[in-house]
Amino acid sequence: MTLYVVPFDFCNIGSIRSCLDRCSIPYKYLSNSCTLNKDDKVILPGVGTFAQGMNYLRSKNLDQILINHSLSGGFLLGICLGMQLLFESSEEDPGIPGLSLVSGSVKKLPSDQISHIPHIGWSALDTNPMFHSSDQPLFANLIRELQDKDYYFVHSYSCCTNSRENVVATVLHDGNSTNITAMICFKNIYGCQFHPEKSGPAGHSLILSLLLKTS
Amino acid sequence: MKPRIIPVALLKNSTSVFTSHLYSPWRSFGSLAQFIKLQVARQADEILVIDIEASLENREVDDRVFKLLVQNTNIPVSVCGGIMNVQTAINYIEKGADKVVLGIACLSQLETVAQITSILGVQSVSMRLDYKYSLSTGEPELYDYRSKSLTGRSIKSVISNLITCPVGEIILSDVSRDGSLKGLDIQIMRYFQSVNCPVVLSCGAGHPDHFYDAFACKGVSAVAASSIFAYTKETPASVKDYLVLKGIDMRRI
Amino acid sequence: MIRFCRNCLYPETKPSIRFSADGLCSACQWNERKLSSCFYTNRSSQNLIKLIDQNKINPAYDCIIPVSGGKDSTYQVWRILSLGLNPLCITAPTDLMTPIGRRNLDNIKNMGVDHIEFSVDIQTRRQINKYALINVGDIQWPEHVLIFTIPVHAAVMFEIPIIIWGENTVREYGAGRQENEEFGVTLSREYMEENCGFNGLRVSDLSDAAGIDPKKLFLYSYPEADTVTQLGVKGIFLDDYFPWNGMTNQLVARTCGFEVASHNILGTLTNYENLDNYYHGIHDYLKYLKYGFGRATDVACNWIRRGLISRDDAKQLISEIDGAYPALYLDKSLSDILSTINITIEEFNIISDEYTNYSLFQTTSSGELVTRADGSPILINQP
Repeated sequence: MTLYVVPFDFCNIGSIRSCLDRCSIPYKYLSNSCTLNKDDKVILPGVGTFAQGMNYLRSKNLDQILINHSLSGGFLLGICLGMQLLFESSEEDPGIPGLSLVSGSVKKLPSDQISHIPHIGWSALDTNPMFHSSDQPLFANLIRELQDKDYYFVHSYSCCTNSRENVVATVLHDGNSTNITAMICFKNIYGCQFHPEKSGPAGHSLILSLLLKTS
Repeated sequence: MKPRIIPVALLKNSTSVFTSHLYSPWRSFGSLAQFIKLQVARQADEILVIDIEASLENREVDDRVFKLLVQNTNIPVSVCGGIMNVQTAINYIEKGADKVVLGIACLSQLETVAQITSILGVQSVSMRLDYKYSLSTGEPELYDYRSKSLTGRSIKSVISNLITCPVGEIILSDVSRDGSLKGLDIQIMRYFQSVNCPVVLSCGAGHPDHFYDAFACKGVSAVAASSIFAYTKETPASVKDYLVLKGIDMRRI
Repeated sequence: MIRFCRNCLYPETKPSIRFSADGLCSACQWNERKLSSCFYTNRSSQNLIKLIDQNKINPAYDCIIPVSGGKDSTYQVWRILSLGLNPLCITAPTDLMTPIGRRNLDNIKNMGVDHIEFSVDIQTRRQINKYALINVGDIQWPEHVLIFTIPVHAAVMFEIPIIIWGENTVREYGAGRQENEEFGVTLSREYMEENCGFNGLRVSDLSDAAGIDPKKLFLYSYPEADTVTQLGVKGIFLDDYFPWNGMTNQLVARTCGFEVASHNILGTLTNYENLDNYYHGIHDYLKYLKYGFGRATDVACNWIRRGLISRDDAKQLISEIDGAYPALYLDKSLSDILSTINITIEEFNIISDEYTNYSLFQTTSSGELVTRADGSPILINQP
């Protein structure tokens, strides 16, 4: 298995690299000259805007590589903006299509007198009961991993999908009681709205689980 | 969202950590490497690094600061100091900062602030407002640490700017309480009730109760502190233990 | 550009040091105060004896003297005995003791005193040595702690409130807040943690973050505050009563059987200190990397303040000696010393780099350190 990381511009790639070094997991940067095998894994990190992210992928011809990899069953992990790029579109930059690997779109978080935008800080997750009772040990392990831990969020937009069965966990947006999609899983695509590489030991453990224990 | 505790490293000579000059002479506290490692081990939720000489010396924060931060943290880090144009802000993010913190140098150039937020995203940009209450008007005014004087510009005018030019987070520092260990200025929050983004209070925390009072106040998302973690037995972990006993849910490891 | 004291060689990077408006460091300011005419005449040996007598509880022992067997503690024992007092000598254990250190400690037993030598579990200590080296760049952290805590434990155990220290290291080396300069310091956990060179690391970190069993940390922890206060434990500095001079201390100590090394010790200007354990070289090197000065500077500054050497001569003396890379300390190699805490030389160099304050040292255009032949970096500007 080779692990690839998409080296977005304006992105704190150092954090991902540092996290992977601490996990002792070797990695390469994804470029359009890479040939991916089915058991290779790709991480899409991301900080910045939806347009910047998609423009980067398209200008480097990485969008098709990611789509092909995923459609043939390959593993993708999107983090924060990286997760949002997996969806079809975003209110942040209307007219710019995402990778459309997961159905749904990215919407601006509702703001009012109580809830802050951006959504910044640490929070525990509410896991989807549909995953609790899964007979797949992979999901049961994942749910156990996520419970009673706090993860770090920093975002103004969130992913919205009608397919509840793809949402592994949500987090409550203070005040207006909206449930924000925190983690998704669809086939071999995983997405974390929070930053596991910035979430201390809890995030470190999750990264290890996702990269080493998933097929 | 759980309230955050953010230890602050005030840097001089590139990587030496100092504490406030207001209540004791500039006092070197140790090296940045040791500061980062200890605070992370003591359950800090974030780290804020402020290079107070960068703007004065017209330079960026030293590369080594980013190297030490990236190597030794798995929590978010914000870097403040020397950001006067868009490229510097981009450089900081690419070298390892999760958030850039804009200070007074940027406040007079709102177009620069807008450019930075449009490129990096609002969530990556914080703004630091140092202030003092004017003796004549009793109103909070912006303070310029470079000239060590009040600017005559009211906090209210800054708030109206922030509505047109939003940032991800605001860090409020009552300069007169800096290093005092006597408590944070909670009163300032009455000016910020209409502001939508999270607010971080800074300057003056000396006891876990100060954190409790701050987090009880609507709009306060985090407390940034320096002297309490240098000169008392409190650590982020011990403050959290205290707050949990008093019913505030805090991030635990 | 780093500022240096106009009188001695201390840089402003030294933790907690202060400079007056005309560029005199707090250590030199303190020295000027001491040299003023009233300082020692107001505090005679009779005052000291009276103070000790007023606080005496244990019928046998007048006071505790923490002893390492070094030149200073040997002198302290001689001084207290010469006043007709009966001290209980307490040794906090050093680690990786040298043969000469062992002989000098045993020499104390021949001076006519009762002596208790404490030991701590070596495995735990080595774990802490390693944790402290990695996390605060100080391999001798346990030493700094035990030197203060064990005498206080002994004070509580034997009900001997007075602990006789030698130099007031806080004032002597320019730290401490000016408003707190007082005599007969009441030793508290806060005083120790703030002033005694702990680099910010606390005993509580060892159980919380390093996962060390708290039961193993009893001697590293300060005794309960109320027992210490109730007993009235006080530290008295001999320097408050008799002018302190490391040079003359070693001359007196030698007449009592203290042994010096055959050559000057790495990184220092003397053959009469830093003799007792093999970790000094590593500790002093890290100090140089962090702050730009090492033990040779400390000694030179002490000599300058006592009129033994001029500032210019001191500058020359230390320039090639201060901050030496500890490839060999006395007769042990760096790799042998590091192997006691399971660290390789490569790992040590990485750790050292993290604690190096690059703004103090010369670098190439690509940002790498310019080094001397031994691999240690070179200061950008000298005193």
